[in-house]
Amino acid sequence: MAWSTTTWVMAALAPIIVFLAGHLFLGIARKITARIHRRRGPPVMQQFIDVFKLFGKRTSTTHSWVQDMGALFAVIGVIACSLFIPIGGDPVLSFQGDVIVLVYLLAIAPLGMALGTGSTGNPNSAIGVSRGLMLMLAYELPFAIVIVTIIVHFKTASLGEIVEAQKGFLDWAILSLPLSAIAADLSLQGMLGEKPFDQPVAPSEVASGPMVEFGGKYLGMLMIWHAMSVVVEAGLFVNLFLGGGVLFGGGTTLALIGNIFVWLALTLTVFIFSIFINSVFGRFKMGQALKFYWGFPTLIALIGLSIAVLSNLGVF
Amino acid sequence: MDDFRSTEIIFGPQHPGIHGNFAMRLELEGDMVRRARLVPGYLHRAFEKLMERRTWHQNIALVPRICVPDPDVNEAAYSMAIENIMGLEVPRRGNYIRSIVLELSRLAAHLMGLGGLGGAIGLYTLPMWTNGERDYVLDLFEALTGGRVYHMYTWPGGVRWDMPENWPRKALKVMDHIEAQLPSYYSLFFESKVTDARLKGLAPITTSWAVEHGVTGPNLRATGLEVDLRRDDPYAAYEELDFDVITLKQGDGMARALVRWYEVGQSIRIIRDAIEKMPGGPVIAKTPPPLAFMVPPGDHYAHVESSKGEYGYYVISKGGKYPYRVHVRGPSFTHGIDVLEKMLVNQELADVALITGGLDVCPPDIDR
Amino acid sequence: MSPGHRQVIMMTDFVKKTIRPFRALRFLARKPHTIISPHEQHNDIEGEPLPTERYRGIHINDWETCISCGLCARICPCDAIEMVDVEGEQKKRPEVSYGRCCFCGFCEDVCPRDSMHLTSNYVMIDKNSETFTFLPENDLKEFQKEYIVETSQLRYNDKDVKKAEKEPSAKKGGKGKKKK
Ligand code: SF4
Ligand code: SF4
Repeated sequence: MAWSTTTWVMAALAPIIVFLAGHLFLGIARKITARIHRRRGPPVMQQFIDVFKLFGKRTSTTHSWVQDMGALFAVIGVIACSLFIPIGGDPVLSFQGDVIVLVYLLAIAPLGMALGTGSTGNPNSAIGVSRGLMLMLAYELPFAIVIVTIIVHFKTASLGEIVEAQKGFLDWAILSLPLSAIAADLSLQGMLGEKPFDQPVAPSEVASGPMVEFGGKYLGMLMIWHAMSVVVEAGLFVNLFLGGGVLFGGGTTLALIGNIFVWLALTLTVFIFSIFINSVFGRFKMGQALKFYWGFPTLIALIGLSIAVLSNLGVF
Repeated sequence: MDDFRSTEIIFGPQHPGIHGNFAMRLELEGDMVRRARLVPGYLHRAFEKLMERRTWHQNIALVPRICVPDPDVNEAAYSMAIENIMGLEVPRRGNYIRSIVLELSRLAAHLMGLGGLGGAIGLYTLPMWTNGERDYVLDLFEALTGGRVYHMYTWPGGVRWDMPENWPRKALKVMDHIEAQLPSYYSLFFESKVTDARLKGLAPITTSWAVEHGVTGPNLRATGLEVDLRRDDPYAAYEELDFDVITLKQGDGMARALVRWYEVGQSIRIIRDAIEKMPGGPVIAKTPPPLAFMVPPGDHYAHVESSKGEYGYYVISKGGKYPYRVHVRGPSFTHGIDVLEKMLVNQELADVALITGGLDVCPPDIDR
Repeated sequence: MSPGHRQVIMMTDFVKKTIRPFRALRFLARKPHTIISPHEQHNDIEGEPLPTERYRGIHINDWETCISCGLCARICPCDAIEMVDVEGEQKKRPEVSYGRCCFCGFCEDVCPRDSMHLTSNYVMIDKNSETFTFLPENDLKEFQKEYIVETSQLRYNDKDVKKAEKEPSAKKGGKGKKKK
């Protein structure tokens, strides 16, 4: 597969765009949360300041090289993910079945974190990690069903083609598959680790769980991972259901840049919606979260799937 | 730890889920707490001993520190005990102002307690709001007493100063403001499916169990028993003020939170009533000056209804300038050690902070 | 109650309890509780500036009327006041140590000549810890006043601050002006 110049440039730019956008989004989210709290909140750039500050710090405790690896794993995993996400309709890596690869890749970063925290020996982190993996088990079920629904609906397993198929506003999957979109958004809430599904990092229960033994540069790394995964995961939702931000056709560079901004705006909207839910609900217990995900979202995801299959068969 | 099935978690004092400076050692099996041991003592300042070396009035500056969120009950109970030994009669206006101060303090403490519940389930919007509203109450305290958190305002014989002229008007305005905010708290916290899932049926207790273990105050009222020292053994001006004793039957976490929620409304009602009925006259009885203040030999136990439960001071005087012995009965000692240790057994780790917050445990009062 | 009826009630309850908390979002459009200190004045509910008259802050002592009786040192529960000899004065003067003072105001209450007072100024910043033990005089010390000037010249790189500075009316905003 020969890469065009645009693809090369995008391959270099995609992680950077995701990095910058992620921290900006988190900064905006902090401001919005503060306004709902009736506070003024920190400046929007605070997230950048925090990360740079953390990287400027000396690390006082490390546990073993496994911990270093774990933090690196998380960041590298999410950088790899950012290459699979079509930003503004232009995927760097695109092939049949990349959706499925992406879903697997998304799990790599949390596994890396699990690896790193496992080596620290803090019981709070251990509980946090086991909660995180359990939560993954919970939200992956409806999400997997949604992915299958999308594949069945668009008859392709390539994210690039899925975005291609949603060119017009009326082709957006959120309109043709509303039930699956709701299920996917609920799964997204767990994926982003926002309330009511933030059990793995619950401060008042497990003292911030996995993060508890990570300080200084490690914490900076985890913050980068979190910021980037926010964009990747919310962006995945945009690509699957909101047409991937392809507004300008023509394939020129200018159109691509425009599309990237549209994509970022849509991603931000999806993320802010999740922040709204985050700031008005408390957190479920682990068992309740499991029960929730395997109940309502799975049910509507299944209904969405059957509708997609039936309409494919020409029943409606 | 003799087998590998259980983990031990040291929950506090460096833990975001703990309500102050005390620790719990939790033995977990999976997510279940099998045994909880409370480790107090991080905040022990030997108040009872310190008080024996200070004059009767100097202690007024010391006692509010025993319970930080609800400090005025200390001053009031201590002063009441002294007044009883001396046979002092507090002027009516002094009693009314005391009632107002006690209710404001209860209001502030309940707002903070409700916020703590929100924090324990991760709903950080609620503590931010309630603490914002609490700040107006602190503004009132500042205008009345000169202090925001520790007021040192109630004094043997009455209160230190009269109210400023515009203070009642301001107080009524703050009450209106807080009352207007209450519905939004309700819709955020109590009308939420997540709160239902977390609080309903959480660590329920029955009335007989509660009485057996010395549970008092809102936690006891949440089990359905109608007890309230303000009505059963009236002090200050409560005899002449209108209010209801709030009781709920369930005895679970939701009931404990709701009792506090309704008591905020009752406090507002009491304050309005007291301002309306406020009599004239002096605010403090004729007493000797502080440095020549002597209390005749005698002893008395004075108790008040605090936002956490029954708060009592047992004061013994052998005559002279210093108390011979002061004993403090704080509700958090009972709630925070014995009751909590029993209630945490067979609860999930996720609920530990919520149960502690639901009992409204105040660690400075445990350690004293 | 028929089973169907109960289901309907459960459904409406579920929907209500999912939607009601979102009412909190209306605070997005409201003015925040907090103020930008020290650029904005902290006001109480009626818009009057805080701290109030009664606030118990840093001491002042009128040396003209002070008779050096030492009562303030005797009542002080924290042992914060010491009567010290002052050069060029015949009488001893009370010296307050702010590491100990708990701002109870008993010294003010007990003073027979009404010379000791607690002002409502509470800001006191200095790098040298020894400045916090001093003899209160008729007026606040220089370094206590200095701070007030210095901080108002601080600038934060925040849009809100700039806006608050531009509009003098917004400067007083903060808590007092908030509507219900
Ligand atoms: S300040 Fe007042 S109490 Fe203290 S020594 Fe002077 S006159 Fe006496
Ligand atoms: S305010 Fe209280 S603690 Fe401070 S110097 Fe005066 S008497 Fe002592």
